[in-house]
Amino acid sequence: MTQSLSDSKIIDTIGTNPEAGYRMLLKNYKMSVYWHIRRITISHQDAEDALQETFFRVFKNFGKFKKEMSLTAWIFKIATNEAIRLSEKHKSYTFSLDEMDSEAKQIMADEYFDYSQVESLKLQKAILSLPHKQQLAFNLRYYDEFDYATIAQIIDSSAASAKANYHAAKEKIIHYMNTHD
Amino acid sequence: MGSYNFDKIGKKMPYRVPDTFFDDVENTIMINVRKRQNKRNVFKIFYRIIAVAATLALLLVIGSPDTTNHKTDFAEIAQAFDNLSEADQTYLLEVYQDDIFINE
Repeated sequence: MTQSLSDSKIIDTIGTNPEAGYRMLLKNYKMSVYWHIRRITISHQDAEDALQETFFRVFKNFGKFKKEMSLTAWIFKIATNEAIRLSEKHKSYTFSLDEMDSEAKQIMADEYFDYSQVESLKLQKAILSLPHKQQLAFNLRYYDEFDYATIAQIIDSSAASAKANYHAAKEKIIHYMNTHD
Repeated sequence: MGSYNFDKIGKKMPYRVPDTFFDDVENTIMINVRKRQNKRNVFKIFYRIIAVAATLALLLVIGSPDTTNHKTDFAEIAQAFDNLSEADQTYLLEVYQDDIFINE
């Protein structure tokens, strides 16, 4: 997690000075939300589009934000939905890394991929081979270090289910990493 | 379950972003949000104007009495009355001439 400002300070500032508050929110969340989206969309262009849409929706619906969940969970939930929606629209959710070894690699090569990072590339392929909820649970726990209650709010499940999804994902990833070159 | 040393990778990912992406994206988002908000406001105003114009048009159509039709209606009724037999005309006049709602 890279957020540094407290959510309550952001919420208070939006209440008194929306422009300053939204900038504060952006500064605080842009990186973590971008990387969360990027792990879902894979493509940088899709991630940028989903990021813009996410913050547009966050600002537009801020008045409807209820403090039943944390601001972080709310923003990540919107970001997750946007990333999945865009990925399904562009069908980019599974193709890029799976087809890395084929000739399609040359066509789909994105200048914002670092193919030299062999081990981390393998980890991404392992994550992307998992069912949807397991991917999300693993990413949100491993990269964002959210607790299970927060993950549950983001992926619409219970904390116990989020924990089970994370552990199932981890087990499959370990198997993948040990059985693939 | 086997084991794997995740520390070998840590949080490294094979993804990169353009050099100044995170510096620029904040302004890009704010500008786009403002543009879209302005567009929404323009549409809202436009729809309100259309709604008011439509309401006025409807009121004009419903509210303006069509005297030509009314003339036709009364002429038709008078003609129908004339077509009745004398006995029927007398009966109707006896029944309705003191009706307070008709003669109000």
